[in-house]
Amino acid sequence: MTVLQMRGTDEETNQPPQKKRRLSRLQSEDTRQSVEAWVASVNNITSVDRFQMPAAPDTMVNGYGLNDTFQQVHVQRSSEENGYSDNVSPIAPLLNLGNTCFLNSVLYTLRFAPSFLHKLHHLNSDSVTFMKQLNANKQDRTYSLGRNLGKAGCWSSKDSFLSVNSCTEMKTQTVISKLHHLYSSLSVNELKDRMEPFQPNFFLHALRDVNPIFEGNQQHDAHELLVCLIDIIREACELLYQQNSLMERPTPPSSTSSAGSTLKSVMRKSLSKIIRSDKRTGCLRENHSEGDIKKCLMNGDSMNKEETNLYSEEHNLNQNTLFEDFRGVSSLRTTCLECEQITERKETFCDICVPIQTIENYDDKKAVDELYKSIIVTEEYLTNCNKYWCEKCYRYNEAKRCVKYERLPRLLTLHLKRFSSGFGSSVSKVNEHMPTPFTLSCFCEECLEIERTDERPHYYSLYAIIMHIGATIASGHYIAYVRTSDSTQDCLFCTRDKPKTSSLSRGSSINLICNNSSIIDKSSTGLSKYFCKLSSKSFNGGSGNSNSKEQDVRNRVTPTCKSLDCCSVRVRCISNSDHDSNQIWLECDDETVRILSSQELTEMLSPTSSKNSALTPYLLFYARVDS
Amino acid sequence: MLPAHKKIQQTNTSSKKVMLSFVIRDELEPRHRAGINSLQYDPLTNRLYSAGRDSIVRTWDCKNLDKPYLQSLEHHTDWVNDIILCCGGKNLISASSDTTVKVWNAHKGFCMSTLRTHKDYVRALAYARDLERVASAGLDKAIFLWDINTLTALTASNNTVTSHSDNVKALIMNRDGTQCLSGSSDGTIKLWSLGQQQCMVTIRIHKEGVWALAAPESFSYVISAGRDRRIYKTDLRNTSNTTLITEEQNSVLKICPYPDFSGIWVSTDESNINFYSLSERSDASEMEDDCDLIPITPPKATIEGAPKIKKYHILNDKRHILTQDSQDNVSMYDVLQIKKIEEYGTVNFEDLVKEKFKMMYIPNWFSVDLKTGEITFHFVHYQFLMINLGQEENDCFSAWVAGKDVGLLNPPDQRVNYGCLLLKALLEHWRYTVMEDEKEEISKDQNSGNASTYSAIGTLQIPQYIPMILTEVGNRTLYRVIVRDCGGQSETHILNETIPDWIRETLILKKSPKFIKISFYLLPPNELLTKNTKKDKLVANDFVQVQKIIEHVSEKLCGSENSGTTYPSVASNSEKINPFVQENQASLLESIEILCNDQILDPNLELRTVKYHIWKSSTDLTLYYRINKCGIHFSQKN
Repeated sequence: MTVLQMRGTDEETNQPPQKKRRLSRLQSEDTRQSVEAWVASVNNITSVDRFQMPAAPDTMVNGYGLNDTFQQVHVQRSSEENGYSDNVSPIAPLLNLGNTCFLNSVLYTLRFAPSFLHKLHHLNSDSVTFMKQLNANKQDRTYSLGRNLGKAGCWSSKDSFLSVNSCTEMKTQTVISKLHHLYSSLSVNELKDRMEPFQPNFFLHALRDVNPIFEGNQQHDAHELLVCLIDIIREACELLYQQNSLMERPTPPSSTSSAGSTLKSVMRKSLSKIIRSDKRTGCLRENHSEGDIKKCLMNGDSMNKEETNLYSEEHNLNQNTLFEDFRGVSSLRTTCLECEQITERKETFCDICVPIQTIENYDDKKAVDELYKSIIVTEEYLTNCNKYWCEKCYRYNEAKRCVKYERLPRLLTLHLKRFSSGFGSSVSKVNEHMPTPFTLSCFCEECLEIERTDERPHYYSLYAIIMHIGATIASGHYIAYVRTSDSTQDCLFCTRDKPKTSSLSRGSSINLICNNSSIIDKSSTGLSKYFCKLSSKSFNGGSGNSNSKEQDVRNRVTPTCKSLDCCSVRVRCISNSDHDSNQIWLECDDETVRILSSQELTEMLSPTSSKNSALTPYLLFYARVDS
Repeated sequence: MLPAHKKIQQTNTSSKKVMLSFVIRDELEPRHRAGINSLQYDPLTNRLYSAGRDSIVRTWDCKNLDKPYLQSLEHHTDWVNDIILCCGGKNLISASSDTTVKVWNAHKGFCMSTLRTHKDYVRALAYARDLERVASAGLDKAIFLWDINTLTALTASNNTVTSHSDNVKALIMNRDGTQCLSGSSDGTIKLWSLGQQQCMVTIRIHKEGVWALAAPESFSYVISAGRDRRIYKTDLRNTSNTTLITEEQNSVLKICPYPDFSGIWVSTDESNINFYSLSERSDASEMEDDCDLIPITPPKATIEGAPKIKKYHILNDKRHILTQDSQDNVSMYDVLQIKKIEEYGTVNFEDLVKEKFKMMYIPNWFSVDLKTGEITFHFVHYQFLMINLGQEENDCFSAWVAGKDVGLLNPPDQRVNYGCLLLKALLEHWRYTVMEDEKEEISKDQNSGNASTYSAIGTLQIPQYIPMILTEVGNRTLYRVIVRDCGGQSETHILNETIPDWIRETLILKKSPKFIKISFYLLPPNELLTKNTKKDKLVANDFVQVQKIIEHVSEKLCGSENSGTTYPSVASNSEKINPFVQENQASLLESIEILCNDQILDPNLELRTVKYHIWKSSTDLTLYYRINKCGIHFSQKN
């Protein structure tokens, strides 16, 4: 029943796979039994071959075969529970280009990370503007100096550090813009109701340019890709920040006071260190990036004040950038038990590696919180043969070493250690169940001092899970589970793109993601179907002036940035009282996206179901919520 | 015992290696060098005993505070962590980080017995007076109970001491055993009722760890001190009533009160012991914690300590060491003479180091330790390790030096080994017993005519009072003996058992240690290191001078007696050069230059110096030769 697809190179002319429609209507008991049998056999698979998907895009049939089977399973359930017509996906799906489910799952996840799209939009537009300026400058320079500046490396000392990396910089920028373009296209697809799967090959090529590890058609580790992407984002943010301060352009809302040459040099040093290490390793594999910020000595409780100030300044200046959302700071503290001197080392991280641990009472929220806290915030004693060399005592003494989290990122990623390190060697997967809480208490240092969890200023809420099925990292399949959220708040009050009076038409119109009162009006065409009846209380209604026209104008003048139109997610959903607006979960399995209820998801995450299916949570994504 | 014992040592390559160490010190060390971990006062004799981090327990006469020093109890080899006086002041028990517990005759000052049951640092002692029992506790999580009279371990119990989240570093009990006071690293002092098994009072005056407590038997008040250097007296019935006695200059480790509490002796992590009077205090004013104007009462009496060494730098000749002590005095020591040879006063340490820089390299043949406040040198030799220059391995026998540098009367070109010389001098008095299989080897050697190269060399003159220590690498001390005592009967016996193979081989079998070799490539000018050229790897002793390489090159160019390969690229030039050379061979020698990293090498430089200081990389040394036809040759600097 498989139909070979002739894929055109033009991403716009892709035909939806015909067979999907046919298979999705299978509801017979026989099929279900055979499927279940298949799933059971999947769990027993030890050989990796079954999941190897070797090939060039032309032989996608194999890839389809795999997805095919899964589709049967998933569609089976969903068609019973949700009464939606299964030929329409709630969001624009992504196509699997051949072992690219690792890519698709990460792309889906990032799309639904709160405020990610909005910030990405601005990062992209800033970077593009900046690159144009750079090129313009470069040309100017060529003309004005009259020297042969053929090489990209001939910059003046002011931009000297650029010279080494201008190629890398271009590539980084390309990745960012391709990513933005991808999301933008998805948004356009949703707008135009075109639900055929989108091919992310432009983005993939740009990514491969920066990091050749992703060449070829091999399956990769989703975590590795995530780390790579976040690193690219970091580079883009830092370059932009550097250039802002150097070029003295009007800066984005986060202030860039000229914090002195020391700050710049600190950033430059860390930047160059990170760039160098990138070239060496290609991609950051560990969960700590190479940014070793400070090593400072603490005597008693008093920190080295200078260093904290410098550090926090650097951190404050970058508050609003996209990278900051992912970046956290951990500190490793060693206390000599003899002289009680504390030595501290701070490190930045973009995700936390969590060893697998099962507990009995997986649904007890407190116990789960405790579990996570105890395996992440760790403490060990250096004793016996493993004593610590204390510089003050000039000898080996016992010491206590602990890892604490000074600052957790707004978007926290937990990487479950399902595979032992040793990429490439055949390692077995740890399939043990680990509870996946929907909300997680914060374990940053400040919060840990507050005993009662409900008195803490914030907590973390799960917005995405990437699950993995398969025997090793490099084979198998990834599926992303994401939660939709209302992202208009970011865009509404963002002052980046101040609407000019002439362009009131589109730029300032309000688009809202649908709430559960039915919004989608299929009969209307074009843009208007996304308008909803605005209640006047959602906007500053103005001061009693009953002139509705004026009110209209005022409404339209509420600042909105362009990202809302450009790349935001438009979820189409059916009115269904079961779906709470904030709890719409989507299961994104390459081209197949369907809605899940949170109960369904909870069931999937429970240990009973994990014995039957081979899907295990691999990456957990949390967003900080103020309580 | 003898042959079997030797075999076990040989096959046990995985067991810990034994190293030899000694300390550079004076014969008499009447003052503590580093901090003092514990104090004990004997009211009957009015003596104060102090346990030092310099491994020595000293006795002081409190009646005569102008010259209080009485005697030193020297036997430990690492920090003495705690001492207890028992049996009415007759015996002193000491616990040390060298994993031993020793029992001393307190009046006479000699060690009666050593208890070796602990496997890690022994940190604390506790004394039950009525039962004459002492408990020792260590980091190996074991507590041993000893009956002092019989010195037998009553219970070799392995109690796992659960580690408190905040360490409890000070603990005292009242006379009837109903209450105890604990001082912890979080700065709190807690009064516990042992009957009710709960904490009755918590005192929070200290900002950092509380390390020392003292209280009268009635537990009416407590004197506490710790890392924050302040000594407070707190009324236990009304804990808000706190008086600051004084502020010390360093973190306080121990408070030892007189039985009538008229005064307290205080020890810190520096070497002075201060005495503060308590009875003269008239005011009981409350002090606020953040009051800046704290009247610091000076001590009523002080037992002065000596400065400790805080920094060291080994000069490139691997024989002289520059040190700086806690009073900023800089001195120079000589390893081979085992003494201080010069004092510079309070000059700038870094500048002096730079000034004393010499362009030479000798491998590291010892390691240095400052944990006792004095310099301890450690020597070890691993037989099965490949020694490469540039690695950090310390091999006792890696330092080969020209005899003239050592100042010994012998042919100037002869090479001597620092390690061999020193060992020989240290163990000069030891009448070693030659074991059976050793005898065979010696006779074999003599028959084949391999006379040792260094037996004819003189011996170093070292001070005879130096203590030598044999330790298992990784901390356990095996034996400590003074150089001049090695000849004694029991000492000889113990040395026979403890001296490791690598020393025996050198001293008894007189096996000369191997030379250290360096491999390198010698290439004609402008030739790259390819697979072909890599076949011509040369090996030489590390102390060979560049001059010898020049001579080697000139021989090759002449294509003379050595039937070895001539350099392929040179062969083609040899026709051109030969007539030139035959005329003026001497000047050829002068016009050959050897280059490393594009730097012309002084012919007097040794190969190891070139590799370490000029080549600097861990890859194989590559040298280039060329002929300086202009005749401008490198002027030799001496």
